[in-house]
Amino acid sequence: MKKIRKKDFVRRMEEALHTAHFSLRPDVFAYFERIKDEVPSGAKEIVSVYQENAFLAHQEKRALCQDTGYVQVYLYHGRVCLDFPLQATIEEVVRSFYKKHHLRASLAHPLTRENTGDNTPVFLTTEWTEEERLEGVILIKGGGSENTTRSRLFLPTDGLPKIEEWIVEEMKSIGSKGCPPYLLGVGIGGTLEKALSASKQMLLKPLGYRSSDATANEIAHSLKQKINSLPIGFQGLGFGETVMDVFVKILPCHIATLPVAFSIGCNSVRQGHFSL
Amino acid sequence: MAISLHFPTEDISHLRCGQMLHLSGIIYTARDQAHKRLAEAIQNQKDLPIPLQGQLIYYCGPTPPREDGLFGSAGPTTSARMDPFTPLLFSAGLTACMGKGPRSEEVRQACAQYKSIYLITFGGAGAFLAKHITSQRLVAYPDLGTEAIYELTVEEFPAIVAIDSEGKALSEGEWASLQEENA
Repeated sequence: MKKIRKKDFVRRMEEALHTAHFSLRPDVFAYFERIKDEVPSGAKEIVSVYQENAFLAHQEKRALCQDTGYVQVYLYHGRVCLDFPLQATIEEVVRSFYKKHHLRASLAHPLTRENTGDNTPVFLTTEWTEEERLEGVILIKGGGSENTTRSRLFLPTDGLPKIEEWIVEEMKSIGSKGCPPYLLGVGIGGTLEKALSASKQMLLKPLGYRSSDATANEIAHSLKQKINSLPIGFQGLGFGETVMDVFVKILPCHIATLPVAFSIGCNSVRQGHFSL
Repeated sequence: MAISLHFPTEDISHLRCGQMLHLSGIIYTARDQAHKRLAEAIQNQKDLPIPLQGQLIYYCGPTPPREDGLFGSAGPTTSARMDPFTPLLFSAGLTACMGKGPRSEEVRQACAQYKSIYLITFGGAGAFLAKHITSQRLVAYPDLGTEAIYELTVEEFPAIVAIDSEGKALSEGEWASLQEENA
């Protein structure tokens, strides 16, 4: 079985954190480039601010957003052997990376609000694969977009129109609170916990991604149209789009349940990838 | 064309909803926990660590200072979380506040009542906005870390008037159509 050394893991994870914080996702960068041509002249200046932001983050190693978020790591663990403690090592990397690059420690005790001081713990989700490798995707999520996460347990007899209506109504009340244009990830089915987790993982899909599930794609398309007809737009200013794209994941659920959840990725949705 | 506005300021009554501004001068950061403390101090008639009259509070929790002593990234946080405290701060003399996103009806009414304004700036553009901050100084609540109150000197810091001192509020999605009307 392939053995993965701590030294290599640490280096790759640092590189992925670096990409997440200092390089805007290329598909989002291209999106800004494209919509700049489509928006009214007064709005072009504002889109330029976001392009300039991505440029400065990359050139001067400034965090894309001051909310350097919580660190969520999705680990796809194949037929490999690790000779180091995973959770502790990941947190060691985050602790030293945040300190070295002057990133904001953004985690606190939920009640006393005392900051943990080093942006740990790291939230780790592991899935097992049959591949001969270890893959990781890092999602850095800020509090503004996290506060827009929603979930609901529908009746099994409620059906799709009611679900879509609920999502659109919630998006209307969320408005520009989470920094649009957004990515919207939707989880339908599973358990409430699985629906939430799937909705967040869908934010890692590239703009334009279409799943192999035709129903999921149809729902995504319909939601995108409905949400983009709401009067919100780029930063709530009424030009451009409210959502850049929508991704839906459908999972089987218990005959008595119909859990639905959605997560929002802000315009600076930050992610990095590593593979060993 | 952006209108220049220097802080502390004496007059914001000429500013109208939807106008683009370039801020200069001294402003203060404060977000959730600092608001809770400021509100407690006002309610208990204690001295405040910062002046409010003519001043602007920026809802921002910056990244820690870099080698040059300045913040790497310093964009706005969601303003709505400060809604419960804002009317009280306006009543105690605060002239302006700045963040991102919509506010409550109570904040809109408080802007009209106390002749104060609410500004928005660009969420998710922390690196860009940090370049418009030329100096920073910690002034209160150091135990709050990033949530402490910092005094910032800003130059050409971009903002948009989202609620003016007559209580006219920019509704979601309205800015672009206002620009067209004024063009």
